[in-house]
Amino acid sequence: MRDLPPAAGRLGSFDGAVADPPAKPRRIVIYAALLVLVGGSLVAIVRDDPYGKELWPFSAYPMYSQPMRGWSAGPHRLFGVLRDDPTREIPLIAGAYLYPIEHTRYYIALARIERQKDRDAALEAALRDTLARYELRRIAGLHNGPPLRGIRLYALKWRLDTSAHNRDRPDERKLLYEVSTP
Amino acid sequence: MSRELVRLPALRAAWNRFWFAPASPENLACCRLLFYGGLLYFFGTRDFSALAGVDAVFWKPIWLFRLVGLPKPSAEVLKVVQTVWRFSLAASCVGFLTRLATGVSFVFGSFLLGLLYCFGGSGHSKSIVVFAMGSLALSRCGAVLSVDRWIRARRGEPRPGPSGEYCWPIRLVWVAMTFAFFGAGVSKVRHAGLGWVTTDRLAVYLVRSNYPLVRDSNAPMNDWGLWLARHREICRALAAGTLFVELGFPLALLSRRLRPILVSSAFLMQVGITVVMGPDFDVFIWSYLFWVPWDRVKERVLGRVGDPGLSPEPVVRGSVSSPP
Repeated sequence: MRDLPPAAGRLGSFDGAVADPPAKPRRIVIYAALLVLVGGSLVAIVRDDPYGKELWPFSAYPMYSQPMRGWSAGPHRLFGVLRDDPTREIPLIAGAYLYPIEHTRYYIALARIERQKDRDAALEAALRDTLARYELRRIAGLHNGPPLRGIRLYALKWRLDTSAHNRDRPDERKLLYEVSTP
Repeated sequence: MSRELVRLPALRAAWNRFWFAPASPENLACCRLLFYGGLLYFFGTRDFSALAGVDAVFWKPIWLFRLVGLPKPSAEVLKVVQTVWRFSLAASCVGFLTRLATGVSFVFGSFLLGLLYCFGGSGHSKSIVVFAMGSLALSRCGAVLSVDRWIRARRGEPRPGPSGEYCWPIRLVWVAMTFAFFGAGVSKVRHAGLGWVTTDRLAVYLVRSNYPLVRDSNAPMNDWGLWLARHREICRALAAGTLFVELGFPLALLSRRLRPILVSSAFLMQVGITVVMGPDFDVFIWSYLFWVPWDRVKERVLGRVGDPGLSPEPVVRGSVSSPP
């Protein structure tokens, strides 16, 4: 057993104190864990994978570093077509509507599906699944959304403004895909 | 050359001091208690089994799942796994069968959190949890402030004293958080260069956050981001500050003076992002608890600084011979 300095009983850690390393076998385990953490993190930073393609749990943490379009934005978003009034639509962005996939993940997954070779078949399956889950959860009382008869995927375009006065009115709206209940 | 460097006594001593400076077991135990308590709060009611009902078109397993050959799990399997995880989190929190409980928490937790990434990927806040759970699973975090310790005390076993065993697990979490911030800084420089500071990039992100159909995350708590975006110089100063904190964060590992400044700056930066831009860092924010010297906080709160004689149990200094 190693004698420790008197301060050892009071402080959380002691950068100035004599180190008290464990036995070699235990140190090997600790250093192996460190090696995995450091190695994985360095590889992730060097690879610099984009959102959704990372070496989870390692990541280059590309927070707010994605390519920008300046003062414009062009997201693809889903809208639900109301069953009682097909001329009206609601945006499907609330977490409760897309559950159990979170909003960010959902639209990253949808973007991947849009890039697939079998795009139309995959989009059909994805939107039908989303509509079915929305309705199941609505009937079960798990959200307060209105009944839907279909879902539409739009490409939206905005000219961004620092007053955000046009936040609910995109400059352009192009229908990409649509599913509806039989 | 590098082998000779490692042999340099001063460097080696500094390395050993960083990882294995004698530390109070209370500090690590407080981290354990609060960390697992927080995980129970964040994930205790989350139903992972709902993911089983999502169509296979959304399923894109991450590399770990592909490596092990894990298929899209059924709801029944997920219900069992999440129930076991919740119990193991609770047991880890109170320190009951701590080694087993923290091990199960790590394995099952990594599976469930990894599963979220198989449906769209993205989100960084939960990665830190995996590293912290792994670190605590290898540690002796149940040595005190635990049911295990209570049982040992009844058997007459002495209370463990300060040891390097209670230092390295916390430092490992520090390193994980350091890579998160440093990686984020490198990514900004790589993709935008100094333009991240000198252009309107941050102003655009602030405005995007106020467009419900454009933003990629939760709604911000207010529209202050729009006001900030109209004051470009403030935005550029904030962008420069962000880059400084992120790229400079590794210094928090090396400098005791810079540590509180960098860590509190990073904390305030993330809180600020949540307030004006919306992203919810939930468990990542919670992981700042590993930077708090809980034993010192406790002693200051109790007014016992400099009075180690108040310990209710006999103490064996440096003893790590009976891992919990």
